[in-house]
Amino acid sequence: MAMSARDEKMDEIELLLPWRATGALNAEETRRVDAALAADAELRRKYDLVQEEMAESVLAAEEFGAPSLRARDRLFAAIEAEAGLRRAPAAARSWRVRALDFFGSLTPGAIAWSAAAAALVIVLQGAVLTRSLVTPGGTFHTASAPESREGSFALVAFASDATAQQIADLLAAQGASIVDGPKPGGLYRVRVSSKRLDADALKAAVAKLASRREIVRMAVASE
Amino acid sequence: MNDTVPDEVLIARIAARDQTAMKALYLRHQTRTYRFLRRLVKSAELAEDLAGDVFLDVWRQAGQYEARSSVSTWLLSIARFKALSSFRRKAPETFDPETAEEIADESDTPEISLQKVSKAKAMRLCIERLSREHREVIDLVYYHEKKIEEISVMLGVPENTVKTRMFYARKRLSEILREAGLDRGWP
Repeated sequence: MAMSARDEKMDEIELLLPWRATGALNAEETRRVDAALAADAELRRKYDLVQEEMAESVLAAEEFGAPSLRARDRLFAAIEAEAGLRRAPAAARSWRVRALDFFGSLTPGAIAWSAAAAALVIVLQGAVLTRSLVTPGGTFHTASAPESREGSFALVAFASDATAQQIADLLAAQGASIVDGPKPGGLYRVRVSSKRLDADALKAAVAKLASRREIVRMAVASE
Repeated sequence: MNDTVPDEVLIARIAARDQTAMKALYLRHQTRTYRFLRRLVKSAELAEDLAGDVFLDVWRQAGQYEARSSVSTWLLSIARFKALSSFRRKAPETFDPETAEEIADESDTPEISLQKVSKAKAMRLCIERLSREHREVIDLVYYHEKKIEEISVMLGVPENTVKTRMFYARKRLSEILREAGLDRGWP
């Protein structure tokens, strides 16, 4: 038997009842379901069943309790063991480990409490883990290191939805590398050339970076 | 650490090897992750082991989080993958995900008699008797309060399939309840 237009509409509404009960529908869907509930006693009875199921499902899940302290201790022992491997003596530490320590030591104040900052830190982490982003000598340097003053630089803010891989590929393709950051405003200091470029060449290098708008939110030449 | 720090920021700090952030994220999500796994694999011990594996993956791979879904959905997705992998390890010769999802799991579940248990308890026991696929969607909707689109991404099925799977899970639950002597008058 063919369903009438009203039946089809009601079926669609009935399918949405569980999400209406949890408040997980958008405003338009909520409005449609509420209108149908107001007009249909049978649908309201079905909605009561949904609410009963929801309550019992939540109680059933809560009966599972929580993982034991033993599980927590085991997890953090494993994490500590991995972290310990990263804290090898300074002389033996690789550029990667020292870089990780540097970013790991950033204070909450240094990391802006915003999703954009979160994305940038992830980006930077990805960048640090990508050897291609590191200066040719394979070492990581902060802005205060003498080497970081050699070459030509730009201040760059990456798009919040850019992935670490996209940034790694872009910088590798242009022979650029992150040397410092994040600075206020989510800016990173990027070496665009290992040589001292003249003003026009630097402007062109920065413009080339900035042209990738899906990855670079902003780029300006820097001393 | 402040409870108001968004999950995404915790993940960023974990990517920067911040163990305090890792502890904060664990405290915030350990119970829900464990309960989701418990619903899927039934064994408390296995669920606990798998939950540990989930958070160890987070510690190792936080830098790969791309905010395409909420952190809680990301965690449940990892947990689901761990659970499915454990099923495959358990029966490498016979495991068929398609078949396994369809078969109601009636093993190690006590017989339900309404003369012995309350209506609420009966419903909880009947949820246990649903197939893994149906238990999962009921848990994601009712307990984890996930949206249709989030479940669609997690399970890798169209949104309409999520809606109908939930409908049939509920229908099956009512049938099991009726078989146990509790007729809800639906379907």
